[in-house]
Amino acid sequence: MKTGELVFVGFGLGENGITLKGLEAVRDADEVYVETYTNYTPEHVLRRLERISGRAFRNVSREDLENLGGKLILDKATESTIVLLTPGDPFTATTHIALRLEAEKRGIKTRVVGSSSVVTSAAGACGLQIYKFGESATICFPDGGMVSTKPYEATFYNLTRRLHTLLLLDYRIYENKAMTINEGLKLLREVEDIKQMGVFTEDRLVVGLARLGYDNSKVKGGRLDELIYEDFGEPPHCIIVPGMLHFLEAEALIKLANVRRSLVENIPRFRGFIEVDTLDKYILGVKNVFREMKTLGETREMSIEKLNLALEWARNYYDDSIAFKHKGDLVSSLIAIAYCEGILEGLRLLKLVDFKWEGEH
Amino acid sequence: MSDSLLAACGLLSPSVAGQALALDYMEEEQQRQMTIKAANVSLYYEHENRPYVINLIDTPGHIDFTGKVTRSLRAIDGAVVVVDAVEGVMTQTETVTRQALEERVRPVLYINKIDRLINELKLTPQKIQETIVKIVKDFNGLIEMYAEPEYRNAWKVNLVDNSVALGSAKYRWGFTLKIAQRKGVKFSDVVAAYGEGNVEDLAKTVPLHEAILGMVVEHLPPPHIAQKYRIPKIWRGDLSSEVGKAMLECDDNGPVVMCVSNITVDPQAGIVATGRLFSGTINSGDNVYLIGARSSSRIQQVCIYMGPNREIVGSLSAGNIPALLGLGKARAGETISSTQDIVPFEAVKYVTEPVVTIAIEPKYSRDLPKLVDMLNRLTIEDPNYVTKIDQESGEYLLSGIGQVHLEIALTLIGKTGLEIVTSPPTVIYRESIRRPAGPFMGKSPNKHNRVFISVEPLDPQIVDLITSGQLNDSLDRRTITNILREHEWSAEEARNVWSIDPHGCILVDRTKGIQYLNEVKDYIISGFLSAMDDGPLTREYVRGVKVNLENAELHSDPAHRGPAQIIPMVRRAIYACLLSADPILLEPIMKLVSKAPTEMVGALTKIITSRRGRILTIDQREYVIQVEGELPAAETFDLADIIRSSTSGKAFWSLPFSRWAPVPSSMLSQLVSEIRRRKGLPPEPPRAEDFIDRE
Repeated sequence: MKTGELVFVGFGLGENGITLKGLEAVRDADEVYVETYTNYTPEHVLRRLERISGRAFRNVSREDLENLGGKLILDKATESTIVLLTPGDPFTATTHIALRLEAEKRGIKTRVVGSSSVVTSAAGACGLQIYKFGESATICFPDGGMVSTKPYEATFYNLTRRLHTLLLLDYRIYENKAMTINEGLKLLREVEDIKQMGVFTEDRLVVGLARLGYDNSKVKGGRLDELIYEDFGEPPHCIIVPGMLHFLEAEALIKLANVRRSLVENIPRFRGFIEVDTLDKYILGVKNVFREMKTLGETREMSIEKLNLALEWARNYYDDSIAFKHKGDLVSSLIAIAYCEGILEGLRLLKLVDFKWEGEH
Repeated sequence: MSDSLLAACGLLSPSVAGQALALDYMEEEQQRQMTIKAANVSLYYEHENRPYVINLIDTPGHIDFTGKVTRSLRAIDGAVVVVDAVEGVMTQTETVTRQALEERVRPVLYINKIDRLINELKLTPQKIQETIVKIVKDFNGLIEMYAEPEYRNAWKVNLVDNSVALGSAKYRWGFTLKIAQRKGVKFSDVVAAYGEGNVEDLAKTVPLHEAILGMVVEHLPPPHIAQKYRIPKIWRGDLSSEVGKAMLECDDNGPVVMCVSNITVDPQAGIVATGRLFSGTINSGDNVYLIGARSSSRIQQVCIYMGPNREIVGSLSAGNIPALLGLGKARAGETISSTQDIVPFEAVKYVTEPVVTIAIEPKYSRDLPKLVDMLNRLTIEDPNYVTKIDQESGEYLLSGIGQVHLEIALTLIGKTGLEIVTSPPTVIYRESIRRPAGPFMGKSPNKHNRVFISVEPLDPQIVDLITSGQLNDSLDRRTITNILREHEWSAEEARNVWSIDPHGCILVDRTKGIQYLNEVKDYIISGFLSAMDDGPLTREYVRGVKVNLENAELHSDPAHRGPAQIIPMVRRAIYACLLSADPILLEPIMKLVSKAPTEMVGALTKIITSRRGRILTIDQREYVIQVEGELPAAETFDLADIIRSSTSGKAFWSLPFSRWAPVPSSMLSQLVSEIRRRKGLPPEPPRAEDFIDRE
């Protein structure tokens, strides 16, 4: 009996996005299935692919692949070579990993022929560096009025770490709707109204990317309140929120995404992330004060015993701060060192001790 | 009885009263000689030269309509409980009186059909008096048993202080002891009047309305007094707030607060919301908030009911019973207010659950929209009707409290000229479990999400609180937590109740710190509710199950954890649990209370015992024997015929719902396949393994 194989082939972005290796796999397969529910795919892209490969494809739905655990395809793949064509790169949209694992469990050989994905192309199309992207998220159509705050939070944490964010847009094959950049930005503004953390303010620099890989693709950056009304045309769309820009990235956004120079030079710095360097500076500052501080003696309000107790507390907070830092808990470390500074500052105001902070005259 | 009261106030001519049944204004009611709907009327009456406005709501007597009674009680401050002189205090009297006392509605007693004691039973005046004393004593027994301690003695009725009236509504005479003494009427005169055919004179000397309305004016409190002690009982908000004070004072100038007790759908005017205005003044054109529906609406007209006629009045003040037009979203139990954030009146508690169902189809398929329209109207007007579309067969299912209740619905539909085909009635079952099971894992279709769920039987006391409406999802979280803490739930679990299914199930979140859980909470609740609506054995409602969310692992991106992934995952895990937890069917058990001449006792007990029933009590009373028993609803469909034929029509009986009980194990599997076949499902129920997802 012939042993089967399941080959996952990505057909990339737009027309003729498939690799030569992928095309070979399609031609050699016993049967070719195609799924188009993970990304919006115009009909003509598939028809053209059928023409150049000389093969007819069968459509598989999400239910075929999920509800029956992909039984339809897996049964065939036990004795014949089956290709599953997917938009973009097969495993970038994480969906198909379940099918591949199920195939491996059944002893079916699997193979992957990759292709370009929006995740890498989007960065390239506007000249941003892939090293500096943080977590991505999808903006989904609200179900029952519920808007997911995940894209907002992902962008927030990326911005505090100065990273870029790729936001994908929902696609519902059965309802025949693909979210546009405008709809996505409107939803983000709704979340901003609730969260109010300044992530999607009107002046936030965003880049809209439409139909990557197609001949008529469009890339345009600008203020959120400008892009929310910009017409980007047919789907598929996606959004990038740039973080801190390298000078080459800034240059690229101006040239490739038509962004005004004043915008790339004025990305507001987002604080919300504690940097080790800053923390170390605070800890060192307190260390110096402990070394050089003079005790001025007791007053009517405070005996020397009480003063020593207060100084002991300050010392404990200083020790805690270092201990938290060594455990990677930067937030607690910062709180502890700030508390320590507060006690010292208070004692100085009461003229119980005397010292100068670094840089203070 | 109501007709006599209308006559007194000039709405009906005195000679028609007794036959006209003006308040029983639905044709259906007049034919069946009983009251089905709660009908409202406002009466103007002068008593001892002082004018009074009396708001009267005539409520149904038949047991299948207790939902209407409960809703009416919220609107009124006093009740005239009518007891049949021959039948005495019956189960229904007990139910209604108990409900009245629970809402702090002061009852007085009217003993009707004295004429039957004279004409049919030929009792001597001495015997008649003994019978009356016995009824008063039985009735006070109910007050002793059900009234709160502070009203227990104050609200007892007696002949001496005029809180009991006697009479015959049919012959339109009646009196209290005071009236009898003043007018010099004695029992022997009454007996003599029937002997000599002078009953008409009797009706002139001691007209019924004087007795009843006099009793109402003397003993039933006016709104500004009643609201002082009723508001703390029927409203849960802060009594020292502006709204609270206004309601306690029945303040015409306070904010508008009205509780809707009844909804009717008028072919011309649309939805008519009738209820009690507890505070403020309500005007045509006012904008009001519907607290439960979370919407606001403009009142088109403020009316008052005069029997079947609505009179437009334009404006009404606190204490009245307005009928409002223009509030399309109002439902019975709704709180209407001029302020948006007031605490609503608690959901009115219902005492019965629908247990009988029929399938309805139009004879001609073009009539389907009309049928759907009609069924909607029925459920709006009487929330004790429940309609559901069967997923498999596409049939429209109508459920009601009993067979009479359903027959009324069919007659109403027939009246509209719609021709329909119906199935024989079937009993509604519940699914439940006998032991804990799980946790079982459920995977989403895309395998990127996992949930771990366990189930356990829910404390029957809590199930009762839920099905009676005292514990429900619309209460605020703290109230829910407090109620559950009183029933020995841990603080941790009581705080983390996510959803309460109205058929008696609870979803509890036992997880800690799961990322993104908050974003899928609504989907998990939807999955839970849909599983509780559609039990795995027979697709009946699930009852008495506590579902615990033990753990969850979710994909970080919202695109991979939408409702299409989460809802089926939760359902699968719950089904795996339920099917592993020794699942059973519960069937409705009805309580048969029957009265018949003593020699019929054998026939009655045989009817009960031959139908999987058991006898509860046999009570020998003066002329009749009362037999009480329990039997499954499934065995009651031909009961009317059987009782009639085996007692020659001499038995009075009622058949209220009693409780849910497990179907005997010996019948279980056969019954499950029968129900599944009826619903067009494969006869074998699924197995737990069908829903268990493995690593």
